[in-house]
Amino acid sequence: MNIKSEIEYNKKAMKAILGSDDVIFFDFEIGGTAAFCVYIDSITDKELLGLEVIAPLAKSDPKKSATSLSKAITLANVKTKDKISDATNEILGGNAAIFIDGKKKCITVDLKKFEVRAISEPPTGLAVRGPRNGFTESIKSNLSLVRRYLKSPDVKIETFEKGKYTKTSVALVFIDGIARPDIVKKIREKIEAINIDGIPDSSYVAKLLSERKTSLFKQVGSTERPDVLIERMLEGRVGIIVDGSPFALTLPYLLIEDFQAAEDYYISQYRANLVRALRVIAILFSILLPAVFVSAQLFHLQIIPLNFLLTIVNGIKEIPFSPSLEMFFVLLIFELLNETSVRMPKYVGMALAVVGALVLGETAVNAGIVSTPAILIMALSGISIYAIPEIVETTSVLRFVYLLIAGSLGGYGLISLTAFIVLYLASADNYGAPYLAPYSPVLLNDFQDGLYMNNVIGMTNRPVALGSKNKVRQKLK
Amino acid sequence: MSNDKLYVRQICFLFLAFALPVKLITMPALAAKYAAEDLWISAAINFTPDLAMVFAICMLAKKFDGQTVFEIVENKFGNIGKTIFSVTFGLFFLFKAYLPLIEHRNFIEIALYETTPALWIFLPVFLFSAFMSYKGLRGAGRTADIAIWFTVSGIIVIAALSITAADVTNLLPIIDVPLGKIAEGSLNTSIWFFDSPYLLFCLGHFKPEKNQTKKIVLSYLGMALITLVYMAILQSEFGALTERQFFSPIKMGKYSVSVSNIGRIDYIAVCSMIFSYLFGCCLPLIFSTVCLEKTFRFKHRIIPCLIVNGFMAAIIVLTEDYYFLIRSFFQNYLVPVFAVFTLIPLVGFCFKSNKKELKEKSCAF
Repeated sequence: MNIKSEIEYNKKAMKAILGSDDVIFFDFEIGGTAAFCVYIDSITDKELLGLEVIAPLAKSDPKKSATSLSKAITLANVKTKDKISDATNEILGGNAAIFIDGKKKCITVDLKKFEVRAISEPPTGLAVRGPRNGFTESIKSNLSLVRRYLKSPDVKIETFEKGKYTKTSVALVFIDGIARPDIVKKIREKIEAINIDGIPDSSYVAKLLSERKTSLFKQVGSTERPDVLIERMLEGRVGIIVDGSPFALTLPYLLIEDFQAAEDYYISQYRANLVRALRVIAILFSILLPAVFVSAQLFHLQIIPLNFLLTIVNGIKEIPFSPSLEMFFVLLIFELLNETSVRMPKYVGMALAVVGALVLGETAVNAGIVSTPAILIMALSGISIYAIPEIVETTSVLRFVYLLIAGSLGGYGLISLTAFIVLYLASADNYGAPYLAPYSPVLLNDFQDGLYMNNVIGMTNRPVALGSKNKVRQKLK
Repeated sequence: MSNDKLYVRQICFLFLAFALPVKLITMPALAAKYAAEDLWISAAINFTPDLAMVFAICMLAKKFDGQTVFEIVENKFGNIGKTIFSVTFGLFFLFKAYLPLIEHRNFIEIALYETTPALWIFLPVFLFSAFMSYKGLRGAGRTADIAIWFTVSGIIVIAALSITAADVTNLLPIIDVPLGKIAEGSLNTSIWFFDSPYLLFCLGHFKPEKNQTKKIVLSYLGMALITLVYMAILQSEFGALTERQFFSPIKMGKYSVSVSNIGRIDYIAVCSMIFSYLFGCCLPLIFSTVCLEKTFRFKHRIIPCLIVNGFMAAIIVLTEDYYFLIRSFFQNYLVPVFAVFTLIPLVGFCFKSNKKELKEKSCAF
């Protein structure tokens, strides 16, 4: 529907479309000619509207065209629109639209003013050493953080508006010349193809961009830290920032990247390698320990050292359940405590800790429902799983699956399941990058930042797995 | 790298990570039964012709640059020739998979489940092998990159644990056993060799590299040397009792002092080897599936995978109680057949290369 020269017609049309209490229709005159302004109360800067838009317009000559009148406004991003729908979209985005009697165009001015959280340290990926800023829910401030770190004309940002109702801004961020053009093109096409009602968070986009939509394993990298996003972009990845989400996405995703914490690059290489090794051990513990313990008790008693075996025997002699059922019970309690502690109000957290640790834990042992070794094993597994919180969704499910297999098939089942998972992951590619790189296929250059980490000075080339044509990261004299 | 391509390194690892563990379960004890302390010589005899064939196939790879074995056969013998070739080699790989699979089943029963009926536990292996066949050569190649760590660490730990109990004099005197006995040992264990056809079916699926022949031959040689050293350690540890040490990986490390101090850590090494062995015994089924796929046209790739692996599962279930009978059948009748299949690539040298004609044809695996 086009804007007509009759102002009353335009007003009726706008009211019909935007009939809501928070949409403000404000009448004024431009040299005696009737005009009205439309904006949404909660998301538009009224002060700027009055001072920088209405005041200069009111003093202008109404005989001028809408385009000429718009030049009286001393703000950036002033446009004219000739369609009612375009004007509506601008208003819904936080801009103001000014309709003038006799003009077939309206003037729109960028006056967005959303309440946003201040930039603060992100709750995930904390680092003792390193920058303390994190992404917020505002795409503008997130993009400003990217620009603050990367002052290069090669940094390209493409924005898309996705979501039928949410009209969420999605920004594709990459470094031209480092990111692979075919990957950028593929991601761009996938974003363009998104047709969904709304995008409340970047995790929606992550799911829509996943190549294996039903896979248990993570497909898209995510971070709340701008320094991590920048580092990944400098390696050749593409970033995706979604308005309303403090998590930026990165593609292609490799499994190894969640073992690489931001702080590893800021501290001594030796300490970094130590903590990386700990992370690997923690993840293996978290997934395998309960399963190995159950399978050892059920099928392979000979692998347990004698003294430990005696301790176990003393612990389990009055337990009425089989080892697998007992471990399932403890795991269930742990998962319940975990879930409720996240959801429940903080002020009852202490009570939960008492109920969980003392009542459920100690009383269950005293009552002979579960054994002390089982609780010890599950506690170790439960703590270890958060060594890499980014993959908890995967590891927590795998822990259940391994436990099930251990209880039914024993050690060989565990080996077979591991072989199955290794084969599945080794065969997988993520946007052209091998999922298990640099270990499968073996990419010697990328060993510099694998489970073993070289000194940052030693990382002269970008990861081969990401296939960037610009291979050299730094030149050493 | 396209979907059906491997790196030369991955082909090397197919030998080192997958083919190697298959030889370490029953073959050493069986060789010792005939050749006693010269068991390693009888294994070396078996390795030699296979190594020569690996070299010959590497030469063929240069001659028919970029062509798969199916393309070479189709070009020389037509579609019917290709079909016959696919069917016969499909059967060859099925037979080749049988002994390792049934030994694998027995090994896990002995090593891990002394009191549990293992068949139920073992059957999911065919789901795994079907999945491995579905993932094809590329999946196997990429997994070999990871499995090599398991194989090598497993063998090193077992060797390190058993070397303390080893007495090298058990290997002496060298060639004291009559040559006929050594030859008998070779003949009776030869069924565990004949690995060169794997390389034949990798033709056209690897990116040509500098020194590729040297790398592949050296990897095969490496596999042979590791096997021989393993057999030597086994003989050194058990002496005259070696011939009774079937499923040797589980027995070699358990007499170590460290095991009595900190528990059965040799189990970790054994589990590492079982992991690689699992891939190794499923490897022939990948090639068998490819042959079936080349013989008939299937709508979906999963169908030949299920047929081959389902058939193999049924055979194993039906014949698991006749292992010794079937092993003797293999030793007595199938060795010459396997030898003929292994020698077939030599026919390729009789033909001229037609690289140009086939350059535009795509290779599909």
